[in-house]
Amino acid sequence: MTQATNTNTNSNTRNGVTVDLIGLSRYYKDVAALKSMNLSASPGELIVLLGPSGCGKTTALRALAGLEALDGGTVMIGSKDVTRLPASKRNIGTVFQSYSLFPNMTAKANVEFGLKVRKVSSSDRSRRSAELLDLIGLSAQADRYPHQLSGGQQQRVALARALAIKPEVLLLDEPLSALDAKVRSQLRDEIRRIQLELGITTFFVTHDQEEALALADRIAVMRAGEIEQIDTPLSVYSQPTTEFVAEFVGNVNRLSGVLVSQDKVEVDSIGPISYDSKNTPFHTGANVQVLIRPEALGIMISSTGQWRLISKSFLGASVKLNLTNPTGQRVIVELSTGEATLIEQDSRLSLFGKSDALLVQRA
Amino acid sequence: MASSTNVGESAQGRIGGVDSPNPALVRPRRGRRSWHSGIGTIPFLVYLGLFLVVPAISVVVTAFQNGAGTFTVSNFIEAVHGVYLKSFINSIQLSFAAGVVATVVGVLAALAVCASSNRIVKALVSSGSAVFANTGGVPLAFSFIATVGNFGVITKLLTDAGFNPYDHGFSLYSVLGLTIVYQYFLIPLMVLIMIPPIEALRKEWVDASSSLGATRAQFWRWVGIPLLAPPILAAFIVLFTDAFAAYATAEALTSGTIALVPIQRGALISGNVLAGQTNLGEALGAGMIAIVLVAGFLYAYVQRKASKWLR
Repeated sequence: MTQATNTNTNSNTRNGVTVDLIGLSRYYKDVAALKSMNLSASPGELIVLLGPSGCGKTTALRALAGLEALDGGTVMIGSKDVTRLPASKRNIGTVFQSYSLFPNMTAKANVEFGLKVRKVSSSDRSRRSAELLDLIGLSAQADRYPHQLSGGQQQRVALARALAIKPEVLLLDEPLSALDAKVRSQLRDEIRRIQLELGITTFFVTHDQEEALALADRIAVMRAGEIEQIDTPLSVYSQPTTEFVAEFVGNVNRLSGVLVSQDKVEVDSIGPISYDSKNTPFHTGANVQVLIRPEALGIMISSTGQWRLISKSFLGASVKLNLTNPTGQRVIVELSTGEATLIEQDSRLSLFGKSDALLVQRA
Repeated sequence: MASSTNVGESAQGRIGGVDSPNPALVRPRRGRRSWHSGIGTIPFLVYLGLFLVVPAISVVVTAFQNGAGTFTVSNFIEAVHGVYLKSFINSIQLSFAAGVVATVVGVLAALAVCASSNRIVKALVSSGSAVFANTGGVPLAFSFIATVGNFGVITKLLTDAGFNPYDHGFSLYSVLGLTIVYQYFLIPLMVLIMIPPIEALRKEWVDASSSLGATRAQFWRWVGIPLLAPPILAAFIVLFTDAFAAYATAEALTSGTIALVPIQRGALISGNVLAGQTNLGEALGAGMIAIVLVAGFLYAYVQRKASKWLR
């Protein structure tokens, strides 16, 4: 698999290993948690496994860590087949969802645990833990026990603990899910900074699309034990290959229309919307459904407009508008906050396509 | 304004921050509580007063009196001499041995039960333990006499097979015999007490230690056992006091042939041996209370040392 171009990455720091998951299968009785899953990561790449609950993303991560038995497939780290190796022999650092710090040890002792297991001398352990606690900004909390640290601090200690053993691969299993929004966002940036600084190949599991888009070199969108699409965040968002990916990553409107040319659909109550026709071999005149992002629709205030405002949701820099027309059709449009102030409750509105639709499907 | 407080940061700790404990994790200061907040505990306090404090005070007061009701310490002097001293030594040895064996076996059994993924097994063990932990007295003594007594079924089978355990130093009617009989209710009690703390060990701790390179033995050495030490200690104290105070089983089994404090005390209070020895019996009772208190304080001290991470 070729390495994707990445807008987030400082490529000159990469010095990790390749990771190849080849045909991974895992069944729980008759239910497939993983269905012959294939995934390759380039050295230093950060891959986010994104998907809804039960899609197999954590199973894939645990299989890579050696914490989950496989029914089939191969796990390669660099050129080494580690499929049969126990977790303790894989040299993989793992950060779990929450509460994984050993409660009977201080932050420092937690960070040193993996080194103690490896019989590293006490002075070297102290030096390494001091470095890592400094890296995560918790030097002053070294002697605190986990219950004396906040959730965000605990997860940073867990990250330092995972990094202390100088792992070849770093795995993060929803490490931010138990934190509040502000700390989550800050720690997300912190994780990315450290990952880039160390150049370690990293897999990050989440069900939060915003987290995935912000962090990843590439996102693997998973569904029912399979990877539905793997690509850069921009491509996954703007060029989803399936309806599931389009709807899971970001918001979409689903609109009915008729194909009027190979790259244009006449959408009911809106008008013509263009799309990239190369993957949609429908004939002209076909009834189709169009999937389009809220920000790809534009609004005009017009006395002949059929659309009316139902509600506004203020999102900070943008505003989400819920609109309806006399037939009861609903559409979501996202405008900048400045533009949205012009739209009033009794405004009559017309919609138009500002940019391409994501997908066009047979109705 | 030059300085400002970021509410979001202070609530959860700043990234790269210096010192920001989560207020939610910091214990609230003990403040003055309204008097009616403790009203619900009154029935329990009344119960404790009537059935624990008043009898204990009565035991201690009586222990310091002679038959005429005059103050004396002679009961205590007698209680730490001769057969009574021996009964204290026997009781402590028996309770300690029975407690240690039940602690080791009970912890291993509880670990095995918790490791089982079979919910039916767990439910059966839990409910069975609750029943056996409350079994004792004459029925228990009789069931052991009928099986491994001098003429018990198992003793007979072993004798027929050429091995009579009574010819090789074993006796059901000894401290060793009592230690074995007490396991019948102490081990289930230990299992019952230890299942919740073992189940509270998080799978993430095991997984984290594995991914950090630790073997299962290293996990138990550095994480599992230190975490379980406080509840194990607490449970051992419960078992020790349970065995120390056991009366009916020991009485039924040995008929007073082994000097044990509860049996000596029972004999003195009921006047089976000599009439008018109630005050001496209560001195033995006061001694029992003192030993249980010492065990409790010892536990509190050791637990404080073993679980500083809880504070």
